[in-house]
Amino acid sequence: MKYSKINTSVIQGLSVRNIDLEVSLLKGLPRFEISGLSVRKGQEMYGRVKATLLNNGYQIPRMSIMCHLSEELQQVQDNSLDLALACAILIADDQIQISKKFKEDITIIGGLNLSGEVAAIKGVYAMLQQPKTRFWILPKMTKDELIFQPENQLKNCFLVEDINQVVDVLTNKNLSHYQIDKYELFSERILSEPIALPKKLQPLGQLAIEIAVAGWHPALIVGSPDSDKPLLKNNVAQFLPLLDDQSYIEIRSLYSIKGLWQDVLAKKEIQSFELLDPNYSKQEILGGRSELRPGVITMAHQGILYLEDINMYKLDQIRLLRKPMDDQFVTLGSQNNQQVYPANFLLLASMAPCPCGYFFEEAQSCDCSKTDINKFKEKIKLTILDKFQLTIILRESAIKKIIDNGFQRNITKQEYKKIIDRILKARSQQKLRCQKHNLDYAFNSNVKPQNFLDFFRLSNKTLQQYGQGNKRKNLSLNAFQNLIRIARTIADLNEDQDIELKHLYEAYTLRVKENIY
Amino acid sequence: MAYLYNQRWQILLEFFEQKRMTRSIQENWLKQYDSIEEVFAKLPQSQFEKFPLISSDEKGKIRVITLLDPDYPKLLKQIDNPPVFLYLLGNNLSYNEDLTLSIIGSRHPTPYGEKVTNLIVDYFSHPDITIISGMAIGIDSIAQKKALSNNLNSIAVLGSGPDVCYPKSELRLYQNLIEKGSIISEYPPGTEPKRYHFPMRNRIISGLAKQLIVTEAGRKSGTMLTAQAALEQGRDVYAIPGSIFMKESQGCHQLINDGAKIIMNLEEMSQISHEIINSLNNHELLIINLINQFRPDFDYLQKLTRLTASAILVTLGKLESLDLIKQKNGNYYLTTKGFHCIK
Repeated sequence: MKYSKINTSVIQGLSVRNIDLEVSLLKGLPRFEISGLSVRKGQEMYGRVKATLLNNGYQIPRMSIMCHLSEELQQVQDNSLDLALACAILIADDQIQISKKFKEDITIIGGLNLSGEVAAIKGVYAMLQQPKTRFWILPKMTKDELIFQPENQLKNCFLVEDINQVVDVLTNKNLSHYQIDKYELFSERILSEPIALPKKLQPLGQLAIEIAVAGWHPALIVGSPDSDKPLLKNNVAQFLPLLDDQSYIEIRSLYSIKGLWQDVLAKKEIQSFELLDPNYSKQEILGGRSELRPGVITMAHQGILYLEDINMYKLDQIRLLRKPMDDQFVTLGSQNNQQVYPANFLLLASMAPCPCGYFFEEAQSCDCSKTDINKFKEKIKLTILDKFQLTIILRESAIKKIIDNGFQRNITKQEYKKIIDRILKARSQQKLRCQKHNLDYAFNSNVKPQNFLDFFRLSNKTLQQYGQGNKRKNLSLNAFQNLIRIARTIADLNEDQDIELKHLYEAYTLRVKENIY
Repeated sequence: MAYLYNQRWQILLEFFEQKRMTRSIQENWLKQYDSIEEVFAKLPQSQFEKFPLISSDEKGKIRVITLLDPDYPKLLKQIDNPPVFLYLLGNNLSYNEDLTLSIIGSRHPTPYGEKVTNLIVDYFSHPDITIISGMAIGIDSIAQKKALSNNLNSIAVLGSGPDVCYPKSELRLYQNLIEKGSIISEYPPGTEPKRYHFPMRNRIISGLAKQLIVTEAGRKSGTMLTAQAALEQGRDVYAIPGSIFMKESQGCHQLINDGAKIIMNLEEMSQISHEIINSLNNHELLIINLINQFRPDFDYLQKLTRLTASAILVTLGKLESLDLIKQKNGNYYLTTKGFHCIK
């Protein structure tokens, strides 16, 4: 019986699939049939594998080749099954003898070039998180993705450069040559750089960002060009506290699948920060196209999605963000192949107050007409203003101008540690509250309406003192709920058990106004 | 026992209901007695306890304040012919005289007048404020009921003895006032209301308060007399305008013509109230003054006040929600109400 079975992993959408690839050689005219993959893709794949094997001195059996995949695949990277198929044909044709040790216990991952080199595949990190077998054959180009793996798993991974080396491994020759050293992986580039400290921000901006990050409140930053508004873009990500292990794996997998592993290495500690480009199409924002690539909002999962100068964007682009902000996920694909991608991002958007930007400053003359300014506000009012929970209004700081003289200083290490500690404490408070109510972890900003009363109970006294007859103080219901959410986060940051009057007042200053500013 | 006349029937009917008497039995039972006094004498005592009205004990609680007493209202002393004796029922007269407000109006208010009255009292819902009125049917009683339900202090000035509830239909209000507010009269206990008492009483209503608001008044009415008295006493009189077709608003329009101030929207009422000043602390007053003088940015404000960023946000939020400052075009500005806080 000319038959072989190979384990391999492929990425479909964002999920990892462990696949059995079976090859059977039957008597008949030489031809190739595949089930589980479209005919066109199958023929392309066979063409590549055939050329590669012949180029490297192997033979193609003159028989009918039947190939079967244990699962039907629709969106896969084109060459991700090449190496597995080549190995399966060689083993089925008895051109190589697979050693007993590896039989049924090795996962082969890699693409092939016609010259016989093993090509890199996206998503190796994600695949390694869901091991089905003990041993792995991986393309050498993807070795960087192994650095977070435990040592005992590394021992069983073999990194190969071309098809001959794969054959070596399978036939149990020179194994140690292909194994990797933990120290080799941690090259100097990765270990070096310490975390960059953020710049020192204006007190108001600093405080507001702290609140936004702690309670995951979408925030709108309105500021003049001379304020710290431009600084925020590069510094806000540093205030995101470290993630827990589960989220780390989730996010690194995402980067790995998207082929952005270099970003993970560069950042070391992942603090996802995505800048939405004004030229992005719908597919690039939400994700999509035929292979269901994740979009920007998914890449910003557990991180910040930053819109720089919201007036640069088209109305449709901004409106796309509305639904994912409510759901914290996005559903892509057609009926047959639907994928749910996570998208729990923190939306921060900056805008200038008027076309010239100096509307707030009395020292600078601003010639913008009232109509211009209203047009400026219009875009955000028409699209996403109701989704924001905080507005941060920044003016040029007279004090800072004198002290810093144009060069922003970094926050000291102690200050930074203090801020991160405060944020972490606020988060753990929120987590505790969720555990008390048997809920999955939800931030203050996205507690569902049905749980609202349990989470944000206001004492009658506080409410009466705050409203003095007029309970909501001319705020709409939505705005009032957001006010309470923010007050809760402020109370969490100050480690107060109940929402007090002062928290409500503080939230009131930062509320989103109907007319923005 | 000085139970009120109509109250007795209620007690009797309740007694019938309790005993489940049919119409004919009721008749027979009543026929046993010669006079109605006898009937009530026969009723069980427990029946009366449900209605703790003006018992003889209550009469004992009436206090008398003379013109020479230290707790005689100082504002009232200033008027032309202050009452020499004030008979007081309920709480003592210990309120902030700067924060007094009379609200008076027609005895037959329109829905508009009722709404305005309720809005005004709501607007002044601050624990230190005192609402003064005459407990008459219509605007007077509406204002006082709303004041009590908003936990404000309220004083009723009667045209009868303090132990005589007039009008009788406002009995519940009368009881509540004894409990939570006070009742004042210049007539000794037991005096029945007389027609000529009321113009005299009106001068006390206007005399007790610093400001007087007329929500609705016909052209010739007791309310107009009160307003005239207030003008003569030098009090601030405010009138709410209405439609020219409504005869209930003609008096107000007349007053405006005569020099009363017009209230065109609720925000203008802030001119009347000085209540906010008392609830502000030093930091808040400092920030109000700074905003008035420099219009500073946040950093500057922090530098000048030496407070934490969070504390400044709290203060700004408080001031803004009290309508003292307003955020506009990225800056904070004082509102008219805010200007009044600068001393």
